[in-house]
Amino acid sequence: MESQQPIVAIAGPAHVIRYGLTGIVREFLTGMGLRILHLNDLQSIQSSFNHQHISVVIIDAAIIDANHKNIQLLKREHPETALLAFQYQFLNNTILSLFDAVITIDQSDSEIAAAIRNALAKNQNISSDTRTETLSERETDVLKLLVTGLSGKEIADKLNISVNTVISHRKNISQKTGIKSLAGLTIFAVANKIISMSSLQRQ
Amino acid sequence: MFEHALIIRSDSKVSDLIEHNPKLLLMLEHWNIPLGLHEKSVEQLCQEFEIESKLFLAVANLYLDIIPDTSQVSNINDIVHVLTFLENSHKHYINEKFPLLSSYITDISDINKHPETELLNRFYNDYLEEVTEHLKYENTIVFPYVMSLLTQNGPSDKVSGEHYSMADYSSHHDDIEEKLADLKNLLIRYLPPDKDMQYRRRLLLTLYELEFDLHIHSLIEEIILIPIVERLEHSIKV
Repeated sequence: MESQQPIVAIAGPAHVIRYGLTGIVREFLTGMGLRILHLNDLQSIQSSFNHQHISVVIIDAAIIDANHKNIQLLKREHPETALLAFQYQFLNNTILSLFDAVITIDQSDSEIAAAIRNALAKNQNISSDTRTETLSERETDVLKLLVTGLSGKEIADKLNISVNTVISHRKNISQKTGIKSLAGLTIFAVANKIISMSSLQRQ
Repeated sequence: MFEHALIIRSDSKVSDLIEHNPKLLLMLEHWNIPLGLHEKSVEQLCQEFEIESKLFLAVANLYLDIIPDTSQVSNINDIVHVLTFLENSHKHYINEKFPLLSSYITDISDINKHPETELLNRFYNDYLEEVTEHLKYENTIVFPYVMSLLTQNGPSDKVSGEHYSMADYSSHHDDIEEKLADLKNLLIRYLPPDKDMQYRRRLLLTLYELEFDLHIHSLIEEIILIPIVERLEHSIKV
């Protein structure tokens, strides 16, 4: 969800590598509100996903070969998570093809930071870029009815569309405005003259 | 040198940590650790206040956005101080943060006469009610349940009958985070301005503080408290 900051997980047994990468993220990617998760191995990664969505996983080359299956599983179950390999030893291409990108030990800190930034861009689902105050005509219709207290079903009937379409309009409205709750959308609607206070009070 | 401190260790000096990240002041407060820290290290402070240093380190690092690995939290035993932290943070919200927020909202309502302000007022009050309800639920159901697991008898029937699930728990948290995000967005983007800039700034900065503290709070519950509870439940059953 939008208010949660993206998480970068760094997996591998070597502290030097984990903290080195953490340092690069801290120095070059400040202001993105990133959270960093350290993992000793990949076994615990599935349980980490129970607590939060992880945007990027950087995996130390030392544990890549032994975790071929885990990596495939991760890719299948969390296709929106970007996988980065941290390479400093030989890895065959079959394994490397599982990754979205490879960073190597001889790259400069800014190159590594850029690779992580690109990986993050892979799943910026609700970035501020998609935010716009311009709702489509249909979205405006749906919003009007929503804030006057109609249910999804009632709106669907009134506008002659399916309930699923109403739901997807509602999602788009929240994405465009950055407001998720109904009460918050009501204030948005009043502030944007989509609905008047008097018509609200008639409820 | 301290700008580059990446992780808090048991030999870190607590006074340096505070200078590096003032948000940690609230962590100390939640554990009833007063200032006047001299040159004490994390380890020394933990000994003095009988807090398990593994717990202290795990929580302090959360403030630096470093989320501990499950293996690092699975051997934390100091449940009493997990609860102290959570209970004191509730007190902090109820006694300090909420009255402050409410007073800013009143200030804005006094100045900004746009009709949206009245709606915002209502939005805030509903939010406050929802959070207070959740805190009450934790105080009266969750924490006593955890305490009862700690005593040799295990939970009484009365408490265990109202057992909570982790899924419920997380959805409460998501809901609360969502409303807070809406509130910030409305203040930043949509509420029409009306000479209320200073008040709005104060309100927003306080909301950011609250948001951060609530975030740490739910991380502690989900990453530290719940695994401990599951372990205790398991050991009682066996």
